[in-house]
Amino acid sequence: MFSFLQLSRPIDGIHSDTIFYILGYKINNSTLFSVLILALLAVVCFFVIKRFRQSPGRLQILFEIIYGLVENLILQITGSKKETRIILPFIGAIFVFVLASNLLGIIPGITSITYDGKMLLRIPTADFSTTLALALASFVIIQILSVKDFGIFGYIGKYIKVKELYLGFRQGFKQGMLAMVEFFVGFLDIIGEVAKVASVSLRLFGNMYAGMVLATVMSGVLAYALPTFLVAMGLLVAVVQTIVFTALITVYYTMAVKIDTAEDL
Amino acid sequence: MEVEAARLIAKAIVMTSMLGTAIGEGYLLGKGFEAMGRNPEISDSLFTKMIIGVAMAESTAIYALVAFFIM
Repeated sequence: MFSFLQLSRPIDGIHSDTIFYILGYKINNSTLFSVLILALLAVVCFFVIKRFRQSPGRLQILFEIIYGLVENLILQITGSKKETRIILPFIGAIFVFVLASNLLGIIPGITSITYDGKMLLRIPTADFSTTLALALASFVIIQILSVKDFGIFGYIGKYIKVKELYLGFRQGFKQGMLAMVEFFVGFLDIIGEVAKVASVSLRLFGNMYAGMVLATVMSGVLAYALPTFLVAMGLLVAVVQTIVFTALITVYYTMAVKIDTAEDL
Repeated sequence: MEVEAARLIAKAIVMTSMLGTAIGEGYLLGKGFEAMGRNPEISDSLFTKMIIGVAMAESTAIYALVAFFIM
């Protein structure tokens, strides 16, 4: 009846599409967009940093606000300035990339450019490969820093608690049995580490992909005026999910290393 | 039963897991704001922790959503 108000199109698939091949490697639409975003960020950062002055201009103030926000977020979670200095470059890079890709995807029309019947630019965070790659990279970094902090035997001892088992049985039977339980819980921690990667990457992917699907479904109901609220909602989700993703990685980092709390804030 | 019908029923069952997330998030946010109202000085630190807690509670719903889409 009101079909002229509706705009129906098929829901985007959960997989990203292959656009072309380079030397046998698939180049997907999300890869294309993430390379574009990285190039854009690199160029913008290069020109802004080259023109850093004592009295900042507008663009410099924006960069300083973002830096302050990320630094404050990490400082609140770790509670130590030393740890903040160590992890800030990595977390900050992830923050800027995820924020840029979430926000650029909201620009109307940018995902409507098609090539060969496929979407040319897909939001990188709406593809599971990107979020899994980010989560895996941070997982590797966190484990390396953990080994650096505890030493190789201390690190293995966190998961296979042979030392606690020995000490427990020397104290008595009851303590020994409790140490036995701890020993098996240590194996569960290994699964826990993998589950962290899965949960943090699935969360970001799920939110962004749900946003895409919701936009398609809503324009099937009413294509005019209704998407405005979706865009407003999308802006909120984009920023909140970026903060959640970086905050969770920082929390996992805090759990994996020794934090010196004696130092003042 | 037809396969398509069974698939749709399975999707509906998956969506019911979001009920728990709604309850958990509501409880968390309510308690968080209560604490902030009592002690406004630490509200910045509380807000960050509250957002992380909400994200943790939300993960069940996200798993359900992903299961819904791949089903």
